[in-house]
Amino acid sequence: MDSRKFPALMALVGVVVAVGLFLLLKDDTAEKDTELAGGSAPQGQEPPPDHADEGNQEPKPEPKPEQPETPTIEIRDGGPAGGVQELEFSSGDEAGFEVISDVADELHFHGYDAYIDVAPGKPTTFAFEAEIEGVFELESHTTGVLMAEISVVPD
Amino acid sequence: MSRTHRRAVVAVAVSFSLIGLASALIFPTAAGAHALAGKQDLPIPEWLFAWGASLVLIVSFVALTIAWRQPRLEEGEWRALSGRVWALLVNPIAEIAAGAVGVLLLGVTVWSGLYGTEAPDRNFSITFVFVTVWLGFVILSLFLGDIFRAFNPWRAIARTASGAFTRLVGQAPPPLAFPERLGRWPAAIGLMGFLWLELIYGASGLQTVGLTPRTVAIAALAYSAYTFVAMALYGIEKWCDRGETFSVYFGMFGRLAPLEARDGRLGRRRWLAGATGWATVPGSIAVILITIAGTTFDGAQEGLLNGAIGEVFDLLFDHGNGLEPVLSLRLASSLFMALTLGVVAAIYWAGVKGMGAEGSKESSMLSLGRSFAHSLIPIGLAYLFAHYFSLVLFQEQAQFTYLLSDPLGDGSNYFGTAGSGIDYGLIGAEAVWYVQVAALVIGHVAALTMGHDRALGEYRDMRRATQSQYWMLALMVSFTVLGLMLLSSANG
Repeated sequence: MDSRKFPALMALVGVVVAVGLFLLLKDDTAEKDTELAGGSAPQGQEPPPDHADEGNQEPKPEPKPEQPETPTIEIRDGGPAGGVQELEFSSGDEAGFEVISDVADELHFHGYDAYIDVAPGKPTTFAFEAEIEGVFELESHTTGVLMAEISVVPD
Repeated sequence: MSRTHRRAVVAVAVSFSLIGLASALIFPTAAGAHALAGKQDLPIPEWLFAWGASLVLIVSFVALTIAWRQPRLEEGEWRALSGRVWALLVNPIAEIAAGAVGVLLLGVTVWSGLYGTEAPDRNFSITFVFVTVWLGFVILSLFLGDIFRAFNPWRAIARTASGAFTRLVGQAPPPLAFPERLGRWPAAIGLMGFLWLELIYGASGLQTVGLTPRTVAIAALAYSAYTFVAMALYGIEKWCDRGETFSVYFGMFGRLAPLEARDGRLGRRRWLAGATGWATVPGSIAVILITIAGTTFDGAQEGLLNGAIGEVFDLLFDHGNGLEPVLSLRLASSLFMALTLGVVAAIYWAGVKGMGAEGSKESSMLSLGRSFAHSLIPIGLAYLFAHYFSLVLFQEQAQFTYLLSDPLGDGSNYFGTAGSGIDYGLIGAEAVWYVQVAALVIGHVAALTMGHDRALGEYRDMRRATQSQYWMLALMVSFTVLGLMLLSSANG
């Protein structure tokens, strides 16, 4: 073999192996960990509230028949109960979570740039379309304390 | 088995075990907070990590096989560029204009820091300093060379003052001789200080302690005073070359670029060739190692090290030591940043030791280390790029929209762009991952190239040069796999 062709051939082999490995290893399935971490789950099954406006920030989307348990974030004594909550949603889904707080506060949902009012006594449900992928912080707008990290993963 | 083979096997074994270790340590995202980050990156999935690591190995071995036999990056060849276009870009007027822009922006930074809103994401100063300048100039320098020199506000002010002084009072006494043994150590310490301010002082634990715009303004003023004194003592250009943190930092990346201005003329040189010999100045190794360690710590403090930092924090805060939570967190984080630097340095010097000085032009480990450290610059750059490019993509949108028109965050709209915001949907998570992995692989290739070329120039014969390269390979693979590991275990 011509010694000048050897480097080019090696490079080509390298590329082929790299591409082949990629296709072999690539995992297209959705994140298996769809377990949505939450604070204390309310009562087993959570029916959507009858009064559409109570405690909601946005007009609720059509309730899906197989409604998974909506993750709940509980705020107690200025911080998240059970530590910073980690929520995960799939990209493109109709997502939502509930916040229960012992004081009146305003939460800032970074990235989606939403402000969520919470008050003692009534849980606040926040629904959104998980269009932006990434990891977003949910923190108290007044104290800056981090309440939750919300991940939107590609599916 | 011959010595060469044995060394090769050791190097490969080391690489594989590091990859194994890394794979075992991948774990999910942990909590953390960044004052600026509207959106943080998702950790790269396991399969992509595995592929990235495999690709790095494949590329390395292919590179070894097809590598050239004569050094190509050793000569300082520089060819002046002729043509009106280049003269338009590089001339005394352009330099003065650039300096004026730099001074103006420094002024806006201080002004907005002192008088603007306390909210870090709505104040011009925070984004400008930590994203636009700190990250932006790294990219610019990669392509345009030592461009910061023209925009350096302290240099511009000092030159103006010095010129005025000479005109009004007469020739100033000559500057003090800069102690050569000090080298770039002042810049290294300054770099450490900047990173400490950014990552530890400004880091949030569970509460947003945060870096306030006011702190940035005061730090800028203090740094300016210190810089002017140093320039007065040692001379402007000398201090920029050795002691001025930003000049040294951006200049380091600028050495990779194909453009360089000499004596007021713009010229071309080979990519990566400008870096050869950069690290021979004392303290330069510290600069590049601190660069890598800084990004490593930033990635690790929210992922790998989060638990450990938490434990030391508990130790200091809870167990009757009575230290304030903020101080405890800063102490704990500082400890781990120092440890991270130690680990990064240990990896490098282990590689140098493995290479060995026999058969080389160097007489000691130290000088051997200095002759090769420049090959880490692309790795430092790859780390920065992988870690921060999405932050740049989003924050620069802010920089040119509401931060530009409303630098104080008080509702003004100087340029009419205050209404627009950041479009976080601009790039999806998968695209970010691919860019991150690509950056690390490209950085790895560039580093290997520079290391290989240096070995050819350094060692007397091909056999010793080849031996040294196996160690260099292990070194580079370690850093690149560490980089991948950080991406897969941390966010933001």
